[in-house]
Amino acid sequence: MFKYQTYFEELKTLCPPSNYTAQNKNAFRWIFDDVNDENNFKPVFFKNPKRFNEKSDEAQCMAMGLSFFDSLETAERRFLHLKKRLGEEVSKVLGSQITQGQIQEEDGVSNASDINGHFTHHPSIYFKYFENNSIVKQLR
Amino acid sequence: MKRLSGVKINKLDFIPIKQGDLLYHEGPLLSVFKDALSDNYYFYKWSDCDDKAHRWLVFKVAIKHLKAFFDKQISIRQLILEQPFSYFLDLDTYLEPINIALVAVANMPESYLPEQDSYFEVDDFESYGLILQKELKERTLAIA
Repeated sequence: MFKYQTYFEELKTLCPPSNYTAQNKNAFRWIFDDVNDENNFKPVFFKNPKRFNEKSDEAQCMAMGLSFFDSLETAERRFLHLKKRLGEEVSKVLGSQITQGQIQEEDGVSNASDINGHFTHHPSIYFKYFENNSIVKQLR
Repeated sequence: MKRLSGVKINKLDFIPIKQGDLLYHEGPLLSVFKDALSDNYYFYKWSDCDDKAHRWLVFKVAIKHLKAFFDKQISIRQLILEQPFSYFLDLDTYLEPINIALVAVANMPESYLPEQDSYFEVDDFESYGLILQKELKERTLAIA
């Protein structure tokens, strides 16, 4: 059972897509200064659902997932690439530190990492959101 | 958000039609728009936010500079500094503008500017970058 199952059922597309699989993997995510910030593990769709009114069902499904990286290096490198092109304030929207955790098979499903080490995870109701808040890198 | 030194205006002087995203992470961060009534391109660069709004730096990009950008001859920072004035657009959570300002390049907050080497790199940008680059090349060939 996925955490956002009721929302998935309203979409006309299969969500999560069929290429998403249950995996055991290390995962790294950018989070904000406050490790208890409610936005740290809130999918972008739920930060502002109206923003997605005119988006495709595929885009809405993607936005209901959480972004992770497959290593500390890829998480830091991608952040620095974006900061270089967007300016110093980017920590306000992306996050300011990297947290590490272990995603287990029962935590949901993920797609394969892309060329930047990024993957999307659709959490199950069992996903614990790295509750030990293991901070492995400051980004500023 | 930072206080801007500029002129408050009621609306943009073009009709933006979104073309695609160049940078994206859980939402657009750098997007390309085109004026519905002309051939002018505009970049929308995410720049700041607070609890009420997200601020976008909106600047015109001439075709020759757009081509130079994709050829890695000119950076995003240079594209911004090339324009004497740019817009700042504060959008609320419903994507409605709550503030639009015209700001001279001399008054641009440094922390809103990309770094000196903010060049195009295929692997760092969304696939729309390659699509637009191809469109521009075909357009050049058609004119030639």
